[in-house]
Amino acid sequence: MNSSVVVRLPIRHAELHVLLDLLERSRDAIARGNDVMGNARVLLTALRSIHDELASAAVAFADGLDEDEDAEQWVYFAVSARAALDRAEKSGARSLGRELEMLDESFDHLREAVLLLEPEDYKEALAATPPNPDRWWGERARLDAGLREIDLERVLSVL
Amino acid sequence: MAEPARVPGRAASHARALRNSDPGARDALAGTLREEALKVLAVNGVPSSAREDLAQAVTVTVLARIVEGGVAPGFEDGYLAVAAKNRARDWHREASGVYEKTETYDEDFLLSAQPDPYAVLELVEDERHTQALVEKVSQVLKNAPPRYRDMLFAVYLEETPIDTLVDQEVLREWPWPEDADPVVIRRRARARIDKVLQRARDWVRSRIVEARTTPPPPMPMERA
Repeated sequence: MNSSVVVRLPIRHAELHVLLDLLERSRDAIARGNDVMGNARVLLTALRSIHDELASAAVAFADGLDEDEDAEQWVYFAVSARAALDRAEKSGARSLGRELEMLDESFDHLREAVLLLEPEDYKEALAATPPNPDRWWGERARLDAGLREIDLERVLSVL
Repeated sequence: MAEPARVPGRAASHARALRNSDPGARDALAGTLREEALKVLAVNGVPSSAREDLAQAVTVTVLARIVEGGVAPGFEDGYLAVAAKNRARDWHREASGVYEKTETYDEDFLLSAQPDPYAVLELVEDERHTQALVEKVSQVLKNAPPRYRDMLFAVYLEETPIDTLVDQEVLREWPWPEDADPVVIRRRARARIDKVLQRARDWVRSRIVEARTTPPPPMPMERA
């Protein structure tokens, strides 16, 4: 690990906690209808900034590797922020539609990162927002609709 | 125009006594119901040979309805009369053969050694689907990352108890720090096993569920 990475990790760890605080405040404000557009823009900008963390998480899942220490929290933030943006879009911030589409398209190849979250954490991150199975943040919902865990377990048991 | 005052019948009087917790009211009510049922059955042409049994059946049914509060207070006599009359009508229909079953589908179905043809088709379809899934899963497992494959083999194919896997995980951490709490170490080990198992299943599912097809972007007109 080179020295720039060694310095970068604690900084990103601190940033994560700032973002999680920000998420909580923005989500509450959106739910109350306070400056929905402004809070949505803040979340959108924050989401765009964590592409690399989600990319590492997606690789860790795909290759069955140990993920970075904060990987699950980055994914939690991403899913939660995207779900909040979905609510914001439906609560007045409709003009964000095109930007959200572009964000979803640019994150599409990272959809497996979502699977680092266990089902109960995923559910908590969504905070009752119905996930869109056609988008990256609905990846777990897409799998559930395509092949239920119980059916896979049944098949694994008869192998 | 005011309705004329209705005189409560005998059954209604006994039912009221029953609601007031009169200890002998229940037997008195049953006796009254039976008498009235016999009268109604006789008036409706049921022969004496059949009357007793039918009256008993009507009495039991109506008494139960009154006790459970299913009959409005004051209407017990009318309820009994209607129930007995219906029972008399049914008896006549059955006696005339109108009720004779002309179809025995249900019984034949239950007794048949052959299952329902639709159920057979569904079963065959299910088996075909399961078989296809088994082949896909086998194929996918061959290319799974070793960590996932080993976990799925251990749990589902070798049927290793989760507790045994946790024991192995705990041993991997040996030697523990001096101040380590064994309960905490075990709990963490269990969480790690559960997590890998969950990811392994999700990994297999993600390789089996058909690749997502991105829906086309909305037309400019729709966006506007």
